[in-house]
Amino acid sequence: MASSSSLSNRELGQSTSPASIRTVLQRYLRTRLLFPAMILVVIVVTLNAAQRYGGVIREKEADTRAFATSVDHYLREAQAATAFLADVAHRGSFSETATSYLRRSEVFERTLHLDSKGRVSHAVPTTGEILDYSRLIQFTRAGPRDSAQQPPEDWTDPPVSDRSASRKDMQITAPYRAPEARHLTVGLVAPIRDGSFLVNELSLRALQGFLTDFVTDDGNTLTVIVDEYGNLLGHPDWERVKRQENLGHIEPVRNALNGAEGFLGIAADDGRTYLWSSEHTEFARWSVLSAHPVRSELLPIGVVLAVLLGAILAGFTTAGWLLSRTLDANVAYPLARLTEGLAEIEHGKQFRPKYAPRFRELEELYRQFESMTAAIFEREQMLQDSLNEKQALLREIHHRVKNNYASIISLIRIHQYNEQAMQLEPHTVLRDLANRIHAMALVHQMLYRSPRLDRVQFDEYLRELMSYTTQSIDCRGIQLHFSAEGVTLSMDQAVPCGLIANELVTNACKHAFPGRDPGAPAGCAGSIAVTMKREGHSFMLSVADDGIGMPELEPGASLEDAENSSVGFPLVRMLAESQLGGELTVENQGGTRVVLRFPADLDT
Amino acid sequence: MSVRCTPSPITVGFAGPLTGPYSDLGVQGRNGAQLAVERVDAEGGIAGRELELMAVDDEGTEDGARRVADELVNADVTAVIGHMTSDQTVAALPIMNEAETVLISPTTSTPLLDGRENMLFRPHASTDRAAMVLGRYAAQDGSCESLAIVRDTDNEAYSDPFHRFFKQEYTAFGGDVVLDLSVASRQSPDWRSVVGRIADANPQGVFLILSARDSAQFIQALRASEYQPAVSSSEWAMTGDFVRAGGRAVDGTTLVTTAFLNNPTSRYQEFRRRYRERFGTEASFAAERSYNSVTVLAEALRHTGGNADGLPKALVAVEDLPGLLGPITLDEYGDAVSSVHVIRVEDGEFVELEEIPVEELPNPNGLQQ
Repeated sequence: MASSSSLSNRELGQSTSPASIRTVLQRYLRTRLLFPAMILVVIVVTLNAAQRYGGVIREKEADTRAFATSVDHYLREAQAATAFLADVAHRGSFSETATSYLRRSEVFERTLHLDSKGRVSHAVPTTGEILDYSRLIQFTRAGPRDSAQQPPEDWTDPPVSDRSASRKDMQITAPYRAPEARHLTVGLVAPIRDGSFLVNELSLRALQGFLTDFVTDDGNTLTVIVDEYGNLLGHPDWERVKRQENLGHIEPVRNALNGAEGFLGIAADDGRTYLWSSEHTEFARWSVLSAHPVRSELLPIGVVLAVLLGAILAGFTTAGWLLSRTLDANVAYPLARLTEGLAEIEHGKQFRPKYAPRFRELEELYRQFESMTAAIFEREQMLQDSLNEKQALLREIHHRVKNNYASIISLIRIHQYNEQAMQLEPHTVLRDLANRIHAMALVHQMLYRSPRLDRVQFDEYLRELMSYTTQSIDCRGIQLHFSAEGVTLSMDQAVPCGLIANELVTNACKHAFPGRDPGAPAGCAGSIAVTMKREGHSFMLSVADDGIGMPELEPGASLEDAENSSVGFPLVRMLAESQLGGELTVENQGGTRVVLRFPADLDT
Repeated sequence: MSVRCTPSPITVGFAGPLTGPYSDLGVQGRNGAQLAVERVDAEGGIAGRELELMAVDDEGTEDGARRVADELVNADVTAVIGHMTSDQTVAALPIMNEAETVLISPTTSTPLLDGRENMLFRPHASTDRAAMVLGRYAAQDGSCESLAIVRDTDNEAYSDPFHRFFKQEYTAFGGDVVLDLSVASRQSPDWRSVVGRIADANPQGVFLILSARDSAQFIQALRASEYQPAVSSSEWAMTGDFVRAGGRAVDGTTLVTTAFLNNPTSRYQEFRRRYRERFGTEASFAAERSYNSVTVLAEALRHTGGNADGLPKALVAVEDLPGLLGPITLDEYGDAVSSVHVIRVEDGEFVELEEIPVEELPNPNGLQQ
């Protein structure tokens, strides 16, 4: 059963109950506003990050170029000093000048004058036991990196010109550990006209110090100098230079050694991650690398972007929340109240909004809904009234049926105890009785045809009644006139009035026109006029004939006198007085005219 | 957005004298080890993990050796390549034994550590046989019937056994040691004074058990004097620094080594080429032995899946592993035996004079240790 129900639901497209408007709105806000907004924000932030990252990279490249330029400048100064000392050595005053120079400058650690075989002629400071420099110095030609390296094969054939030492002739050596020193140095070698050489051993530590002075941050940035093999010549951590570390295993450094310049990527060194940039020096085949800590360089960008991202997302979230709240307050909540109102109608409560909608459509919906529920309640009230009326009427009908039965019994008893009636033929008695009961039944017939079940159009009733009565008794030659236009009576008054009219017309037909010609046209034997009209707060019913009158009655006889002359009169009187509360008068002159006046109902 | 998950590297320590008078050994050893690590990583690493070298400087002192041993043990390295001098190895070994951390020494060649079951492994021969070969060679040379010995007591674990084996073999073959001098290299000896003392004794030759730089300084001081004896040296000095700092003065020096190949294999030539391209200098025996040490370690790590557990057993199981100069086999104590080469410096190059194969080597057990 469950599966068939489920299938049925699916067929109806209602496998799941629809979500609340709150959920629908939240979903909508999420999928159509928040998510797209987040994607947009991420794109914007990513573009911003890329832009900022590019800016940082360009800045670092510029820094590195500046560092390399500084190194070149430093080396040119060193070249100039070397050329100067070479001239001094040529003039023969080397030791004093070199000592004086080294005392004032930290650029060189040692300056040497070597003979053409590479042996030390003079050295300041001394080289200890090492007096043969021929294999310690391995030449690397100065100049641009793309120039061919042409180390001399032997000290007897050095790259020397016949001119005085100049930068053009100067060479820079591969790194070596100088005598009496425990760290590397590099020699600037200037040929002298006499075939000897001037060698200045650079203080790489002083060079690094010079370079580090350019770095303005808190020491996080590394300015590194490596030779063409990645061997450290300069590093802020001097111990690493002393340990003769080689950075060739770091990919950006390897790329720099292969000729790459500019930004080279991100890589770790000694446990920290850096942005690496490189620039080659002009004089030596060295690379100047700057390594900027990723953390300190990119963290501010990350923080700014995170704040930006957070602020934008917070803004969107707040806007979404406010929008959700507004929709909740202005749509979801009023609709919920409307739903509750619909539910309360079931319990008989009319929808009366306590909440004023804040937009026109909902206000119109509320108004229509309120109007609709008011109409429903009004119709329900009408139905209830009608029901009440019908119920009362039903009770009344039962009551009247009982009364009618009582009336019928009374009619029968009148015949039973009335002396004149006892003298009548049974057939006559039964016919009269039937006519009277018909008069009563006709009222009910008229009532259920009537749009109103409690009142009878008396003129129609009278016409129907007289039609029947005149057919049941012999009224031939007698013209019957009716007049009761516009009179409506309640059942309580219609029945006795009908019985009274029936009795009086029957009496008139029987007794007012004796000896009439039954074949004569209607009216030739006489006429009977039945009139019912309103007179103020009363009704007046008169039945008048132009017959012989009541010969047994003297003119001015009372009603009691008339009763004795007929079976019907006691009935008429009883009905007129006890049921209608009316008053009967009889006029016996030029015919008979019986007049009944009785108070009208309050509803009439 | 994909995240690349890289397995954590296998950290291998390197301990050696990166600064100071013995730094030529340390720097060359570190560079050789680095080159081997890069080769292993280029070939896919060990069990999918890269090797990573953590180099520390023992400053060529015993205190420094103990300090960096603690540092490496605390860094939880898988194994240590080092030390490069015997004194430092002897000082650090107890710490390594206690921590059960494998120590593979490329150049520690003291016979004092031979035949002992500990955490030290040496994929090369100890110096006892080399010392004896050189002693016998010097005695039989004819031009060196008497000599003076100069040894550095700052690397006593190396210099003492070498001195003892050399001297006993030299004297056993008729040589006469006229002067036996000890110097402490860290106290910057006055080499001219040492030369003066030897000149006064006037032996035909001088035998040095000194570092490359000290040997170079001594020989330059010697060649600057009028006294010109023949010079021979232990393997300790056989680095590029000896030739560079010694200049022409070191030409003619006789040395002995267990790491030399007259007809280098393509593997060895490739190593030397790569080393030269990578570091700009010629590879010495220290670089070659460090490279071999990492090769042996990598082979053992392949058997342990990159773990330190079981590494000693995997190391002694190494047999006929292709090394730069020939197959490497470790004995049950983690030591190796190889042929000995007598070398001479000619025009700044190391040239082999003679190779004594393993089966012809003198037996050090016959000598008093």
